[in-house]
Amino acid sequence: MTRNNEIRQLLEHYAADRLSPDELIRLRRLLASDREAVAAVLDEELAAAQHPDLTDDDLQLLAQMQAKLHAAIAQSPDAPQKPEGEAKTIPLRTLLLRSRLLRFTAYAAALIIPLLLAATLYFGYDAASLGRQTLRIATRQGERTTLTLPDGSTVSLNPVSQVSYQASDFSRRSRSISYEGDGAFDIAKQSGAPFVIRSKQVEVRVLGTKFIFSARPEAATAKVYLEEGRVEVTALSSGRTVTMKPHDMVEVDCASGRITLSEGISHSALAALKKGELVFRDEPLADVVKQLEINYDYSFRLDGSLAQSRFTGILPTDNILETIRILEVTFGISSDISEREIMLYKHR
Amino acid sequence: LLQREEQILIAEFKKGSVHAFDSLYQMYAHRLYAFCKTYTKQSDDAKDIVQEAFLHLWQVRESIRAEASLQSLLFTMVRNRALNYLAARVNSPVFEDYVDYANELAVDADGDRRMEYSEFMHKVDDEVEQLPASQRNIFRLSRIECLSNKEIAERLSLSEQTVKNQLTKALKQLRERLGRADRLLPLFIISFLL
Repeated sequence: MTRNNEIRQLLEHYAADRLSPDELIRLRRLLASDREAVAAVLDEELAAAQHPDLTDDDLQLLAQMQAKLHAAIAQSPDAPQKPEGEAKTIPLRTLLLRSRLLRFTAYAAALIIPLLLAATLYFGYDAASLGRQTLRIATRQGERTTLTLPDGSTVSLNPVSQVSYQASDFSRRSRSISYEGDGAFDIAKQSGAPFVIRSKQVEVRVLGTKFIFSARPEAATAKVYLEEGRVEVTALSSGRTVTMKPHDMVEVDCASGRITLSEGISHSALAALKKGELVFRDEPLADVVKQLEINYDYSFRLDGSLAQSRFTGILPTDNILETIRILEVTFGISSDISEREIMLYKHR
Repeated sequence: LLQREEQILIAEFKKGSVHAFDSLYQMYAHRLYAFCKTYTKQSDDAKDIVQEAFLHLWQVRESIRAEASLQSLLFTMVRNRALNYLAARVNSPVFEDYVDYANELAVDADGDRRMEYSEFMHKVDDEVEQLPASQRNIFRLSRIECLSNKEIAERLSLSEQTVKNQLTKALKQLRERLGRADRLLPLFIISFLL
């Protein structure tokens, strides 16, 4: 019997609770003298067992374990930011702190009431200056957020985008924000108060409506896709203005201020845009990968002539693998992926 | 393609993606757990090993080399832990007791049915519960924690002789109880004591 077969048999007997006293001695001896060989046999075992039979109890235990691990990794100090929409877990420490805080509440109340009075006076005095403070909400690479503005309008910001406004920008007669980046807007109807969104080159004026506005400072053009309602788009450099109908798309050339209007944007394209997906219509691959870099934490390299190729289609923003597959199939190209960089190249 | 997915998984995992962590868990946890359970024979211990390995992988994620496979890292960690567990188990005196006991039983019952290790431990636990507290304590330190009589004496501030006497008494009682239960007179437990 070879060494490995002997080990295999001993382990088998161990697992089946069938070791004889003699076998126990041999197993002990092997573990002491040739642990490497035992390890190798265990490795084979592990590689072979693909689909284990597990009881319901085991499965339950595994589910509990996953939950526990989640809690543990969320608490580690360098825990990643939770993607939006995921349930928030409250760390145990916070809970303990809260219950402890509760005990102090009675004593604290006596102190807090005078403090509140003072604060009311202070903020009442300060209210005027608060209205002039600029609020800025910005997303980083790979990050998205949805915010609600003082009038109830919502903005869903894609990565590397920002909105800023002052409380005084919202009144009964006018509403306005400054904006940069990519996002979907759902503007609440408010008669007599148009909503104005200003980017560096483009101003969009709306009543109540839903649309997507892309105004990235590094892009050559800004785009507005209208889903519902009516908006007016002004190129600030040329002063030209167009009024959009639903399913129109307007492209503003930032340098010249020229405006191009396309009609009949499909429902699927709009739906994709609203989900934060990337929609391209005949755009150079170089610009496409620029968008991908913003949405995914990878940098892209294009092999020579590829940069000139043009792409029409929808790319997801939450699945890098799928994205690369689509590009590969579309252009008949290959890719190399390293830790931070993706290289696209023609077949050799 | 499989390799590419692994590459992305590694990259995302290193960046601290909970999604990547979940994918990895979905792919391997069941297998690893089943593997460990074969050798620990206890769900909880198997769970602890797998959980610890996943947690450790997460903690060292930033130092994982790009070319290293997450699977092989994870498997190696689990295998090492399982192997240590196995060695500790196999080398423990209680396990030897068990093997002897189960074999004696098997001979008498025509080898039809073997007593499982967990069953044996259960039985021993039940009987140990019946021992006087001081004997119970000494028995556990000796058989479960594998301390020598001298170490036990030091830990409990007793003389070595006292430890020895108490252990003999405990083992004698266990032997009688277990023996009576099975109408056997196993000599095993005491065999390697003296």
